[in-house]
Amino acid sequence: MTLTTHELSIGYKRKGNPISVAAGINLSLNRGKLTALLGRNGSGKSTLIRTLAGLLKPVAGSVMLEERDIREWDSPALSRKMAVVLQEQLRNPNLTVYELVALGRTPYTNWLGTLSKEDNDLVLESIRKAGIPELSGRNTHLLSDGERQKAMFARALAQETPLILLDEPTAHLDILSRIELIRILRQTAHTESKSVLFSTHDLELALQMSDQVWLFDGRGALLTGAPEDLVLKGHISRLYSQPGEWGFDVATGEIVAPAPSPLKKAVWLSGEGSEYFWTRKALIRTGYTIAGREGADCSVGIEQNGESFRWLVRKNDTVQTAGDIAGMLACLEAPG
Amino acid sequence: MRPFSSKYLRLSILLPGFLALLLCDILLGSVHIPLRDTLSILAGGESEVKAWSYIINNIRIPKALTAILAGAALSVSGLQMQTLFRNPLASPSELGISAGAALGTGFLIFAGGAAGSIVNLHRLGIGTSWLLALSASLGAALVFSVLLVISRFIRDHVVLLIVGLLLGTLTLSLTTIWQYYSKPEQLQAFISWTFGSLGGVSGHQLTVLASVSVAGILISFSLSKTLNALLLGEQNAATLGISIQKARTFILINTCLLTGTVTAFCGPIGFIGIAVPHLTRSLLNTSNHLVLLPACCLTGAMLLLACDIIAQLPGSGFVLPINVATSLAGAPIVIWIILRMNNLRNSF
Repeated sequence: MTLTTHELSIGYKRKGNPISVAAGINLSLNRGKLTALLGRNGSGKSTLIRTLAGLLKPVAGSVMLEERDIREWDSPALSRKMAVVLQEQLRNPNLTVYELVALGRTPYTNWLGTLSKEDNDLVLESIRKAGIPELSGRNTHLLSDGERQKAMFARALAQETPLILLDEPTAHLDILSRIELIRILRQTAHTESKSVLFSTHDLELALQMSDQVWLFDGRGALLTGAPEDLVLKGHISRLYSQPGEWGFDVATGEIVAPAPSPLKKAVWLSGEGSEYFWTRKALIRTGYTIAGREGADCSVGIEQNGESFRWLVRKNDTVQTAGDIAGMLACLEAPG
Repeated sequence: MRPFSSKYLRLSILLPGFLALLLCDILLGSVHIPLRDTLSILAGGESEVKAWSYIINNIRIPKALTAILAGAALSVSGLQMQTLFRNPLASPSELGISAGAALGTGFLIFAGGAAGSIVNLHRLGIGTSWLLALSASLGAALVFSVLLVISRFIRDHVVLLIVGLLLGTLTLSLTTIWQYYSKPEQLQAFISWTFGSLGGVSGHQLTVLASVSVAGILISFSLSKTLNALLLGEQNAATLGISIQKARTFILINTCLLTGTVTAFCGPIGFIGIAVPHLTRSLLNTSNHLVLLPACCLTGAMLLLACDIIAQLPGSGFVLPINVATSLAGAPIVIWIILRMNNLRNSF
């Protein structure tokens, strides 16, 4: 156990008065685990990360690293225990990726920051582990957002710390880059036995890929546990939902969007496989309800015809055929 | 893999240019001295005309040295401030630090009464030179401290710049009050000082200027690791084990010593502090201070030497104030280079 908190209350000061965002936080970051920090905007994710990193003073309680209060560590010693990637550094430092990652060696180098042979090897190794070996000579302003986040993570890796904290590393990234980055984080935590904590808005990815979830419940408390436990206890659906409109679906593990109103007709759908799944999604998205044979106003059947599929739409005793889902929807929409 | 070697190679290309400018600066002036004689005097020999030896040894060499020292010192000050504030517009003159130094100098000139005119100060001993440098540095530190306190509450580049400009105006108005109530000869001394001059810094003053500049530049070299970490922002730098408070204090003291001393002896030379760091970053396309600091020293020295040559209006008997030369000649050159390289945005 490396990092623990005791009755921690986090927040900030406004005009001298401490304002607490969340209180009574007792948690521990364990080695070899990837922890995702979830919560709505403004729930205190960044504040918690900054407090754990010793950059912000807790409103009450304490953060302990190896049985010593984090505020009592001197910064060079702390920087050998904990690497932090804050959102602040997304600005352009105008360095090459190599120079940026080499800054991770700052806690170990001499007063001029000269890199030894070992430092250089470690920098290259970190760049490789972050999955961007071909970019080491490129200037950071030429990187895509995803590549830049990987470079920042490589810098944290080069710092050789048992703890790595990242504040929203997946912000602004496309879905593939997000999966790729979280995969690298998880791999680092598992293979190098580090504790990696990252805050994110990627609910589904976090539930799928992290070992542990910390969830701000929106009422000033932090819930912790395995992702599946938090789902089954209903914590996730309580936070990520708008009663009666949309919400986290415990059955599928995804956020279900609100159906457009007013609801259209009830459709009886028959078919199987992926085609059934996506046709169902399309019908729900456009406002139809899926019904059994008896209660349905019309029906849609999916037929396989060799390699291709066709959709048979029965409505008012007429049958129309469509070659794809868009065509099927058009047939349903058509008057009469 | 040696990531910096190519940058150092590009840097070394500047050296011959530097030497050429240095020679030109010593060669050209209101009195024509042939190249052969100039070289022999520089080599330590005598020339056929006694006055030529005197001019070169006592006027032109100190002036060239002053240009090199002031150019390097102001550029390094500007670079440190731009990195600390993460602001492309930060520099001693833009953020009111020079105005603070002017206040300190003005204080000494006007408080000194009849004895306090620059001319008299020049004639006095080394103690007075140190006093002048110290007074200007303290004036600079006054403004810088206020700015540092304010910058803790402001994250916005533009707002900080506006505050700096206002602080500069405030400081200048204090100086103006002194001017208003001072004697004409003091006023004249002060106003001619504000035009800026590289000449007239010799003997004790050159010793003081050289010691402070060299010490300050060495301090900033020793800060290069800290400055590099600051490129990631203060909070990230703190997580790399850099003490932000210590960094701010050292940069404050160092910038004030460099700017203060140069301003005390040469007047408030604008433009070099803001332009040279951009120019150097544009030319080398890096923000790595291990490369940038030596490059800024070299480029700053070259630019001020070039401006000094232009200020002599070669071939004529007239001399322009150095501030006119830096703005008239230097600005277009730097604007042209920055527009051509078009990579200023990469750094901020």
